[in-house]
Amino acid sequence: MVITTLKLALIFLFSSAAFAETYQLNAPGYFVRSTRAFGSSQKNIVGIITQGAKFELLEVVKRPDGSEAWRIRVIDPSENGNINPSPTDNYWVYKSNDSDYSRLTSGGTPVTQGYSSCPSCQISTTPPMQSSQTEPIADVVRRATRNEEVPPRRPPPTPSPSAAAVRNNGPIAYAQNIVNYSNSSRTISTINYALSHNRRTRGGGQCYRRVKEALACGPRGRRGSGNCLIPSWYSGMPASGGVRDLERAPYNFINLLKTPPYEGRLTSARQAPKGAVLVYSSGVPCKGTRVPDCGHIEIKTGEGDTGSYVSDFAEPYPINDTPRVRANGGRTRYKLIGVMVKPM
Amino acid sequence: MKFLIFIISTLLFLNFAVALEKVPNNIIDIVDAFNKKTLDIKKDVPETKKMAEYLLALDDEDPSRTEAMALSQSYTKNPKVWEKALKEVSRGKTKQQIKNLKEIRAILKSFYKTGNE
Repeated sequence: MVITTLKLALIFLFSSAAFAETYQLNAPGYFVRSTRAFGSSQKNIVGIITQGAKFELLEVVKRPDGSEAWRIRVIDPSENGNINPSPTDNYWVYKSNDSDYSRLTSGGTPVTQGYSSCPSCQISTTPPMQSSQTEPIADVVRRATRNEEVPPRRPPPTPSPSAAAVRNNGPIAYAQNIVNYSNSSRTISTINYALSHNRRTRGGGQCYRRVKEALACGPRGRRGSGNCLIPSWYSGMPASGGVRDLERAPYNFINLLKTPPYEGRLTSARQAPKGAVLVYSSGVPCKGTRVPDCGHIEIKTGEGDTGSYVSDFAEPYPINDTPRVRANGGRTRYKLIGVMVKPM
Repeated sequence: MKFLIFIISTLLFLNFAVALEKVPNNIIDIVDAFNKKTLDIKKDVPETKKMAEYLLALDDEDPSRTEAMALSQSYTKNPKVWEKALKEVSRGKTKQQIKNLKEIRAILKSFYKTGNE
């Protein structure tokens, strides 16, 4: 009886491992750690995986902040990635959102457990990744720190990351609930607040802070006027996380880039409706971000090509379609990842 | 003497005018490559000055100051080299340029640490 139970347990363990799901990394880069403690002060980095890296997901651990820790087995760390043997024989990566990893094959469901899980509950010991080019951990950490979760890889020069003007599919007829949003008194109040409080002509690195103030029509850390798009200023960064922040309750914005029938047709900030909050990824590093992507966020104040784009400064162009970007063949750091509105 | 001052002023102006036109098209690659370097105060001040000149020249073309934000990582790692370079670059600049340079310095100093909140 005992032997049978043991056999069944072994079969379960092996089948779980055999059906592990394979994922590919879409984000520029992630540190791989020997334990599931994340943060710049942790000394548990054993390597880096970069865009295109493939790995098997062995275990999922939910973290208190809603993010997840994934225990993985690295199949291919990708061109610029590198993994050294882990002292714990485990390899962990941080997962903050669904877009950073994509599933390649489906199999068994990964084990999900609470944050305070017992180590003995883990599926199996991950075999250490044998890298063809092992290097001292200190070197990996130094290299990783130098790049700050940054992928050493540059985006390919062609097609250009933006080429916003080229990819503009023309004007879009929005549904009534989006038109209502553009014309609502709350949106107009937000636009007026943004325009009157951000008259600078040059950026100061506080785009998200200023946009949140405009959305609440109130200063940082205070309750808003109650007549604008969100009830009060909230703490959150970086700007590239604006999509995630605004989608959650109580804000309940939707991202038109991922919403039919606009998905695929809406490709340029110039096509966005009036009052839309435009969110960009940038690849620019700043602390507090798991990946090097501080991003940018701005509010569109007019329809079509009218009006301006306001963050902590105002300009008549979307940040990824300025005259300099156009003169440079569309080359820009900024990629539009969110056109956020609140259907009304 | 006045003529000499005029000639020197003209040369300084022309030098800056040339610097304005010198921002290369691949500035993103240049900034990213520079960001990865660990700077030596004895050797790398001239190159850092060049980066500061690029940032100043970019100020009119790219009001977002994205490259200053990107270089904030380099400043955080090498503040002494950057401070020396910025001090040298500010010499001979107009009041407006010095004001812009101060704002750029503020971004270099804080962006990598605080982000865009």
